[in-house]
Amino acid sequence: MNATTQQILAAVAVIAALLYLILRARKKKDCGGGCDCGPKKPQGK
Amino acid sequence: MSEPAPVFRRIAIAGNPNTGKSTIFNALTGLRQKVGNYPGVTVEKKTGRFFGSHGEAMELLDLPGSYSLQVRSPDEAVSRDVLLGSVPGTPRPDAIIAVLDASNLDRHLYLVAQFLELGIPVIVALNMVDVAEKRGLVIDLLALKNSLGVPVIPMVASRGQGLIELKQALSRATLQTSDQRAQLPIVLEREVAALSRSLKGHAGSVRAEAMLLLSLEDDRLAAELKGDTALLAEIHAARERLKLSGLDPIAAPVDARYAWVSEVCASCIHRQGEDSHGLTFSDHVDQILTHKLWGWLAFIGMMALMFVCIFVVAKWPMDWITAGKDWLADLVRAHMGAGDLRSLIVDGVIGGVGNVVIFLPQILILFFFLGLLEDSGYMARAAFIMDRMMSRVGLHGKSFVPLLSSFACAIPGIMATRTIENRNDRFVTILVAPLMSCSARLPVYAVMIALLMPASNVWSKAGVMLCMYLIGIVAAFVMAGLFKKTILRGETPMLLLELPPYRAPVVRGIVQRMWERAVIFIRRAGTVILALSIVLWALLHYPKPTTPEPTPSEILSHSIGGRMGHAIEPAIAPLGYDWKIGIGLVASFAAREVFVSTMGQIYDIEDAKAENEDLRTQMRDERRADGTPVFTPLTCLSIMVFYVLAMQCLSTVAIVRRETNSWRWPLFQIGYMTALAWIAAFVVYQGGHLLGFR
Amino acid sequence: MGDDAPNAVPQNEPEPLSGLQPGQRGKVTAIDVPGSMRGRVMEMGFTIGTMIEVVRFAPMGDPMEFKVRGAHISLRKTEAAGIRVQRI
Repeated sequence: MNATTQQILAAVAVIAALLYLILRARKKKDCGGGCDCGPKKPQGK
Repeated sequence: MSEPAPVFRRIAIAGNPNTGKSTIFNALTGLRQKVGNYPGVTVEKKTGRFFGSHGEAMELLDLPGSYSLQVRSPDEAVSRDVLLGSVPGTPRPDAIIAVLDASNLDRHLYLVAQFLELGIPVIVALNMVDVAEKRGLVIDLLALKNSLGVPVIPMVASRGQGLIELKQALSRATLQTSDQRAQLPIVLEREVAALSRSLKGHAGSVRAEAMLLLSLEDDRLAAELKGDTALLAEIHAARERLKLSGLDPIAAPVDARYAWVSEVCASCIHRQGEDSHGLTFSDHVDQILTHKLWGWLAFIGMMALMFVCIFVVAKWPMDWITAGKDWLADLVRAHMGAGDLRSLIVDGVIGGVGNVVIFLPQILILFFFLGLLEDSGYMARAAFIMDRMMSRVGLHGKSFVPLLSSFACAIPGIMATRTIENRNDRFVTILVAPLMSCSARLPVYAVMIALLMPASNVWSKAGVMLCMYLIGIVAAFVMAGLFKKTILRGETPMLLLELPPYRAPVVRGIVQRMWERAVIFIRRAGTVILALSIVLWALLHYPKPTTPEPTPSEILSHSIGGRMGHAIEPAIAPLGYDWKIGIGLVASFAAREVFVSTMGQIYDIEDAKAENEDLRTQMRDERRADGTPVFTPLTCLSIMVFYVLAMQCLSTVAIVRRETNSWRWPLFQIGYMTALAWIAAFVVYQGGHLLGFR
Repeated sequence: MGDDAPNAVPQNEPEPLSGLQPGQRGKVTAIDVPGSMRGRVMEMGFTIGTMIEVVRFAPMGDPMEFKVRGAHISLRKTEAAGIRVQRI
């Protein structure tokens, strides 16, 4: 894989990572009942 | 959330804490468990599936262990609301399994009294009958069944005894509701009936709801009713009438239930051998473990053991993981030509993922240990012993163990705060946990101490390191006290701690829970950390310098991260740092140890490590524009102090975000810790100057 | 509800539970604990007429451990101060 291809792929990966983080931050905001998110407390013993 | 297949029956399993409820839940559902959440609260919704005696699918809902259905905080409301059927997304259960400790019926039946008021079929799982038998208690099962009006299944869940009978009881074609309940004084009964008519709940449970509302203290009542002023007025009026009749609205139902419990116990329990003054095995153990002297020694020994396990025992798997990471990186380097993608994969991805996986051994060990302590009953004693110190800053004794664990790594420590029921307390503990110097700071301390005092002996160096740890501890307590007085204000929560009898931990359950936590950590934090690592890599590699074949230090200086280092130089100059250190600080955000390798990159040293002589010589010889050395002893001290207090760990941020369910808290944490670190480093550096040091 | 056992000591003045020493016992006469603490304390078993035994103080002097209805419950001195008992 030559250097230019690498550059392009690397840039793509970075953008993907950024998008992922942004989308995730959005999703958490409107997480209502039913979706598997948020912190948990353990059940009793 | 749609169900995959129709469910024949929905059952809730509830009971006091420490009754082996989880053991029964796990035994019935095995691996068919799912963890979700209830809207608006931080309580876990744990459901599982099992098959009844005739193969029908049943859903089991694990309710948090509690002493009563009475609600005094939003988190406690969950059990009550689920059983009243008022939680959206969670249908009212068709039956309740009430798990009781057979040796403790005098108190555990209290909750059963409340369950019977609900009008839902109840099945009593009388657990730990083996212990009761050993203590000389003879329980007349038939009499108990008649008094309660519900099936009673004797069990020893940890050995799997009684499970089949429990399943059979749950699989009966129709389940009956009991008509037995605690008898209330006539006046109270009248008020309850009147109030029930005004409530819009499930027909079967309005009576229970009315009883709970009537006896809820004023400071919670308004919050519960959410502005329904008519209902609020009605309840107040009812309470006044009760007071006029000479009844205490809060005490009356409690007394009535306990009176009923005493009657039931009197008819069903016969003691043989042990009289009520007899000391049990637990009592004897406690005489040592909570003794003024021996108790302390045992406690310190226990904590030291846990510590050693996390620090030392974890080192081997951690070294393997590092070796694996390096091997993988070499593999990629061998098979891919130099270029951006290779750098991204090696430094960003492998480095990033490696930084996640490396925490796994410590998390596993810590949670295993915590599980042992919790199950055996010792955890309550630890809280009992440490409470005095904790309550001085407004915390509960339970905050101690998570804080202690943070000395190894704040991540499992923060995850361990789940045992703290009070939300404010839990958040304060989470906020200050990273101030307890974690093991990742050690390489930084080591390099700085080597630069600071190269000629000194081991003891002085150890002394300085100890000072760093102490600074962290003091800061943690001070900030905790501060937070509890200001932003996370709340009364010091009640202690009200039960010291359960000691019992042998159920290892299988512990391992299962430990594994659960680890998987959640990997899946949740891992994805976020990976993404953040990639972004950080980009910050340290783009934009690229225009020279061909740039050296690592050139790439670094030219990148956004490098420019950030330059940009913050004015802000960190008063602390005695230059822009190269600035870059180190920025890069450390991925993981504190990265400071060392970043310094290496800046000084163009391949693969720098703390023990590396070249790095140290280079750093020592580094000079500023005016010829004075950069890494003066004072600067080194200032850097160390900064690292003690600064929040510089992506992984921790990810975990805090997850545990607090918002970005607000981790961002605040970064903010206050950075400010604290800056101020402290400033004081050290400038103060040192004033005192004549350099 | 009058006095029970014929060999009970003559009426002692109700005193705060926090004032008792390990080994001593008392019967609850009143629960003067503020706010939502009151209900919690009662539901844990500290109701009027219940017998409480003081087991010990924690190594640092606080909190205290009590035996109530067969269970061991720990309360801080400030919390136990609101519970008034008649020494037996």
